[in-house]
Amino acid sequence: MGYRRSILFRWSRRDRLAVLVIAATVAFLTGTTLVVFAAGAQTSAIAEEYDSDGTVTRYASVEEARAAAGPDGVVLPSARVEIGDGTTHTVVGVPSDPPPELARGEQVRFPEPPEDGLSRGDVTDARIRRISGTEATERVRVVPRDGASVIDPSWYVASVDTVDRLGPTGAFVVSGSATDRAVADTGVPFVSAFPFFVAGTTQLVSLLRLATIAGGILVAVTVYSVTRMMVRDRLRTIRVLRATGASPGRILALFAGRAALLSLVGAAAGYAAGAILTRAAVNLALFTGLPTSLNVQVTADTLTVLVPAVVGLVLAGGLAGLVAALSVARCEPGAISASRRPSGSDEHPGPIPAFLRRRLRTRLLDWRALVPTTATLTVFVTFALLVATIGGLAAPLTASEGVTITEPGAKHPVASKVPESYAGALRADGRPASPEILLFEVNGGEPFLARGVNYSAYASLSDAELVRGRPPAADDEAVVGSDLAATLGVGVGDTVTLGGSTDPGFTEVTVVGTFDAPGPTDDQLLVSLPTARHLSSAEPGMVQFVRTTESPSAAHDGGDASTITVVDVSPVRRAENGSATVTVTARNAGLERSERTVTVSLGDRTERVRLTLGPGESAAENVSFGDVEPGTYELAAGNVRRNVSVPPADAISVERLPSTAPPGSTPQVRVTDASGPVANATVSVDGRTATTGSNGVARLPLPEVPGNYTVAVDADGRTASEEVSVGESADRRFEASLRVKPSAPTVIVEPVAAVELTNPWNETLTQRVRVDGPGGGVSRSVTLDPGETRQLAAGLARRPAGTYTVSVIVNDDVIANSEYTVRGDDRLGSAVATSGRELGGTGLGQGIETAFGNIRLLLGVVVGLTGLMTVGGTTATFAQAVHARRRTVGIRRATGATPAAVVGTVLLDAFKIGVVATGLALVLSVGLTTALLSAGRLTLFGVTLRPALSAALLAAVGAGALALAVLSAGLAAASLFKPAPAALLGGTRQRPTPDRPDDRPDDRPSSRPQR
Amino acid sequence: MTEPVLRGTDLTVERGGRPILDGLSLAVPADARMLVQGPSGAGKTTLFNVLGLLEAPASGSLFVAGKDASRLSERERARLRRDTIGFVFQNFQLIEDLTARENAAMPQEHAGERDDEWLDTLFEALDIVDLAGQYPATLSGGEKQRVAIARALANRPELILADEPTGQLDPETTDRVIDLLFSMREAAETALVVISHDHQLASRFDEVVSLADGKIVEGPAYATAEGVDSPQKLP
Repeated sequence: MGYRRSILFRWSRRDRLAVLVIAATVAFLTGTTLVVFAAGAQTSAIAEEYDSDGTVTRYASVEEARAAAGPDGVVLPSARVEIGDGTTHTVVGVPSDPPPELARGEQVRFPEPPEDGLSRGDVTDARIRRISGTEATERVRVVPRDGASVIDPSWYVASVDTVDRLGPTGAFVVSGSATDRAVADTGVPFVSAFPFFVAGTTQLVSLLRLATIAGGILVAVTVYSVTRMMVRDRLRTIRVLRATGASPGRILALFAGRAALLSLVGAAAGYAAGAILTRAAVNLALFTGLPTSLNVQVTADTLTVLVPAVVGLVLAGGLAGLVAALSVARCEPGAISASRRPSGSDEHPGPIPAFLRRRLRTRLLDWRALVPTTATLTVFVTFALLVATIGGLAAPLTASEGVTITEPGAKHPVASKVPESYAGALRADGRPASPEILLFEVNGGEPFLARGVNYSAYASLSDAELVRGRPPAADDEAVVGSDLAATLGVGVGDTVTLGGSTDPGFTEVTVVGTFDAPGPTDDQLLVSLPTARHLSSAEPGMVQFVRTTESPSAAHDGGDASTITVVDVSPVRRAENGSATVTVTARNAGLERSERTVTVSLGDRTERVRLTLGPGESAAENVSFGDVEPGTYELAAGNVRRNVSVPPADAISVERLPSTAPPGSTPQVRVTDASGPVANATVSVDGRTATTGSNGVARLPLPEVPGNYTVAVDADGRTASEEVSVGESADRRFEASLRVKPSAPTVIVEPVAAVELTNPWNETLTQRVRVDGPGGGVSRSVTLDPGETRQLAAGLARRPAGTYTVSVIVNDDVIANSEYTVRGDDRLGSAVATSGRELGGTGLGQGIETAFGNIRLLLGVVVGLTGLMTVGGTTATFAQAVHARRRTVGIRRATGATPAAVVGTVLLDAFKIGVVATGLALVLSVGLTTALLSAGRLTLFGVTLRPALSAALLAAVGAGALALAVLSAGLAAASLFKPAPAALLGGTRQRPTPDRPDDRPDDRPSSRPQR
Repeated sequence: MTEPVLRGTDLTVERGGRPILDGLSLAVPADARMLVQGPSGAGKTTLFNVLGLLEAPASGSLFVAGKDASRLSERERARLRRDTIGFVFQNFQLIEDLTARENAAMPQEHAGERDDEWLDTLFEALDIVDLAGQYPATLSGGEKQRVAIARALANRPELILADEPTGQLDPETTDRVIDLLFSMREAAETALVVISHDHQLASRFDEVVSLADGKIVEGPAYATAEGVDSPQKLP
């Protein structure tokens, strides 16, 4: 083998370690690139559903807008006007021009302006209002505006002329897309979800390119250090080569070529490892049940990042080798000294005081390891800071503290629909809850998250603190997080144009306050719920999700984690033999099959019933108690309690007897007992008597003289009595019985008022019946023939926990009413939470998780690969450093140092180098992050990854880095335990292996047989 | 004659199926002044490694200072080396980034007991007091050799093992180094075993053992295989 091939291809262990470092770096880059691109492609595909490429841009004046609008652009002049009640509103003039076309041939939906006057989307009645613009004050008619359009329903729409008269204060230019760019630099897209993902992915890729550069530096440093060591080991060879006539250029070429070769092999191995590991990670994720459908593959797009990265790395490696060999190659052959300068005394950098120098002096490891160690630790620290940031972003409101309630089965929060009233119910239950709508926005090419909230509810759940301005008071006001304010360059008093998120539309909000909050919470714009509804597909009264505090979990109720809740327990039915039966109705609110044993108690007697229900199933179970004495008992099942009376089995009762009746009328009454209608019973009042038929009904002739009478019933000795008031003023009205089902609803249930109407009179009646419950009523006209009975059902609104009354009203008189209690069930939160999806509570948790359905996988892969890169890199660095000192270790071992003592020395040295390297790495990382932050490079999807550089975080990360350094050195030093000292000294000829011929430096006698 | 400080019986080392030491037996008396000589490839350096506990033999037994080295852990072997054996290596094997004094003090550091007085004595005796603060790179071959001898004697060993101590020295310096080794041996009351290919040295040693093909071919009866079994019978 010629010397050229020898130098190029004979690799020592430390060369292979360098290859490992390079491979780890390239694996990281490859894996991350593949996953980011795969995730990006997938989310883009999802978001493409919402693609529509029209934009809207606001200008300060109509003239400016006209000048800027292209031939396809439509100018909508707008005016800020004051309405009679002193509030300020926006009026938009809609021209008669055809609206511009969007992608896929759809047209922008403009509302038709009224002939004269204004229209508004959120009013129900037409009114005349006094409107003051900057140039005119007019009394105009405001009519309701129907149908969805791109204009905010709270805005007034008028003709362009009307706006011109009032005095325009600005204009919007609406254009169908003429640009072929995915994300417009100016204006806001009509539908921002897709551009949001595209722009965010672009940011991510640009961050990835920076990571490539960092990786390139890491590789260059590693290759430089390896080549330096190799050059040093080969000084004698170089001297001989130079002495025998090799030119400096040839020496340089050899060493640069060798370095490039190392880089190339490392890059190739890393590429393969990255591609394989990523696929393995996806498979593992699928295996462990993580919902992911990433298709990780190399595409032309990924190659645009990977090819320059790999080529750059190889070039950087070759260049580093060249620089490392430069000084020696240019030396006169005689001046090349094979002796090393002592490293312990003066090799660590900078002017260091003597006492520190003594402290820092290493006994085994070379301070040259400092540079590569610092490089890898800088990557580690930077990454750890960013991961801590991302983790910290999610931490405050996730895990044990935060719970997000979304619609069961919704793919992601944005597709979820939850009634806003849930939040009210939860608040009534004593738990802070915030109904929210997430909006993906893009403004001037910058993606960001906006959130429709009820500010006070939101603030009660978040640590948001208003630092400037005031909370929003009107629907068109917004507060902005301070990080986002910096990103967008907006402040208090500015207006921000917002495009639709998933539905086409636009609006404008005025920033009235700035808030500070931990994590990504202050990377958001908080708008009102009505504004958010206009921009999203949320319907009136609905939000996407409700966030609340602690997750009620298995900890409640003695570990019974069942999602089954008892919905109702029926009144008691008593049989002839004295046994009483109740019916327990239960529902499984969970997503999975669940079991629960419900304890039913009647008075002091208890029975148990075991329920097994599939997801969403309801069931009614009968529970019997034997030998129940008549009386009043408390009946309880689960959390439902009520007082019930158990009548004697043979008791009879009179039904449908009106409480008041006109004199001489003959209402129908019915006599029943536990088994049903009672025939041949005698009903008597004031000496008049009637007998019931087979259906238990009798016409009761009431007295002609007004007054209070007792109606007595006798059926074979069983008696009962009722009171009736006979008066001139009494109407002939329907009789009604009312029951609320379930009798004790929970806050998530919409109860039903079941009304049974009877016409007890001897004539056909038509009456308007109204059922009044909390939150409104329904009324309807009902006609009943004499003796006819009809069932009516009226749905009641969901209410917070509390007691409510339902009434049946006929002709302004309450003819029946019933109280019911809405329970704030302890299990509610648990049931709701498990029925929906629990998500991380805050911005990144949802925004980015929604943006990247696979963010967990992405983070997992990135964390894993970075761990591999930094642990591999540091271990390789220390392994090199340790390996370079094999001979010294051998001397120490020979002169009596125990293996443990040697390893201890290595660890202590690694600790010293690690401390300095960690310090430098912390400084470099903080500098790097700060530089990236100020360049706006760490803003992804509008969320600025701003590490909270607390002393604790820096200490923790520093400790981690130091531990990594010491651990790596320990791993490397483990190789010093095994071999006999003679092997370390290089004196033995144990197994000369052809593939590792030069583990020993040249200045020791070669053990290879000469050929 | 006392119990030998070192006694190897039937020592065998093989590499690649080829015997390097071939059932070799050797005893070193506590006051020995012994030369092991032989041509290149005779197994000298391997014998040095085996006797110095730097390498374990494939078979055979080795007693050092009365302890059966084959039964010891590497930790115990390291202790035994530290306390019993002083090495003078072929290439001096000084640590480049330690000063002469620090190099010499290393065995004491391993033991955790600094004896600066003894080191001073050694440095004076070896006439290297002025070189104490210098690094190996700035020392000549002879100077390095003396630092190496100082290190070998640092823990007052019972045996000095020297591998080709004069290999790279001119005849005059060679004589001086041998004189030095002898005088230090006297002063420190140790046994001395010098391994060398240099036939010229033979005239200066009391006992000369000749090695060829991993076997002792010539040497005093007490030191060879027959004598090892009954060292107490020696005259």
